[in-house]
Amino acid sequence: MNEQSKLVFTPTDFVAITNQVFETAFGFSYIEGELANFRISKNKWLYFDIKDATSKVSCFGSVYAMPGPLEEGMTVVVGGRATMHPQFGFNFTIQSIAPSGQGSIKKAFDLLKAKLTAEGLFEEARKRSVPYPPNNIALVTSLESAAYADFIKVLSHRWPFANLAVYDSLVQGDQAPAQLVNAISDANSNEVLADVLVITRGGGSADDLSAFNDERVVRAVASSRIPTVVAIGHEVDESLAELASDKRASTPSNAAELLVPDRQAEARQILGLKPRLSSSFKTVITSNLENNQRSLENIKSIFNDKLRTAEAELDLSKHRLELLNPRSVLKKGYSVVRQTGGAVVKNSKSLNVGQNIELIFYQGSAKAEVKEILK
Amino acid sequence: MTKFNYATKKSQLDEIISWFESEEIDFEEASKKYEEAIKIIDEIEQYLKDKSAQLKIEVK
Repeated sequence: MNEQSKLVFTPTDFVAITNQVFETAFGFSYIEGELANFRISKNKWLYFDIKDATSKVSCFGSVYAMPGPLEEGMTVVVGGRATMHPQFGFNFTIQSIAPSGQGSIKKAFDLLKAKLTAEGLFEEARKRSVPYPPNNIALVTSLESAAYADFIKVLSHRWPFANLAVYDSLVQGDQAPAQLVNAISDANSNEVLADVLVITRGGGSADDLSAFNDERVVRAVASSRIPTVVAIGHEVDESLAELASDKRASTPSNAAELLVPDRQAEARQILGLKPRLSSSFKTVITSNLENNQRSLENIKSIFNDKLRTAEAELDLSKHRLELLNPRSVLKKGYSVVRQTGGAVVKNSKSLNVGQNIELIFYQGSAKAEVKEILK
Repeated sequence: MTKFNYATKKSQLDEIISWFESEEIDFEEASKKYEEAIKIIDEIEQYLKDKSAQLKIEVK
């Protein structure tokens, strides 16, 4: 190679061309390996290496890419782009990082669960009641999914009176957490909030469901202003998003069943209330009649008592009057002596011999003359 | 026209049923509440049997 054919770059050109080559060769790519030299700077930036037995790759990214607490030694899959930085040289700029393999997934799950439990995110006292049945339902799921179809089918059949606002989101893969968070945020940004927010997907492997164990998603569920129902199609282990929700359902269909009653069963139950209500009302009428009857009897009894008392009092008065009647005395044989002119004689000293007096008997009277006055 | 709110109507109905199960019941009030309950039941029945009801879906 002669001097003229040599390619000589400036550092800036070299960096720019290298980045173009990386982009062309790799584009967005993934690396799986063991997490090492992990550190967080200024609560904002992540620095770590991802390594295997013989090699390591320096990685850099934002803390917002973290799915939760991570520990060195965990196996992770990072998604991002190989980059040559003008100042700091080569690194792999990550946009996603997720634990990989059963052991690491379990470890990450346990770490995040412990962290959020300590913060009280899963406490029963935080759980809100879900209106039953809700008028307005917000649904976060993938429009392409069987979960969406199942939820709509059951909801339409049981309770077609609801209004449903659907927020489309990926529910698996490394883009799922960010999309789920955005969808939850959008649902919570409406001026008039829905009565309930359902976040659902069908079953899958632990890896498929990992978005629902992502710290960003779990926090979005916990901080939702709308009461949440999280339904992930699996029965065994609960995801952290389910633990943070106000209510958990086992499947998308189960979520719809929990949210709304069956209209036909409800109609039968409501109609069944009519005879129950009539029976209660009849009891009230009967009880009221009995009360009235008792009141009437009481009034009658009081009236009779009063009447008897009045009669007795009247008899007593009559008897007293009778005793006071002067004729009653005359009847016993006594007589009244009156002077001529009317004054009753109470004392013999008021009489004179030869004076005419009048004797009044019970029946009749007689004139008489005083013959002698005795002391 | 005010939109029919099933939960509110049901709650009103439940309240009346509970009231009838209480101990002190005034006849005049019972009469009024009975008529009110029957009216609510009829409204709910009509609502539930509406064959034209359809889930309204809006994709955001």
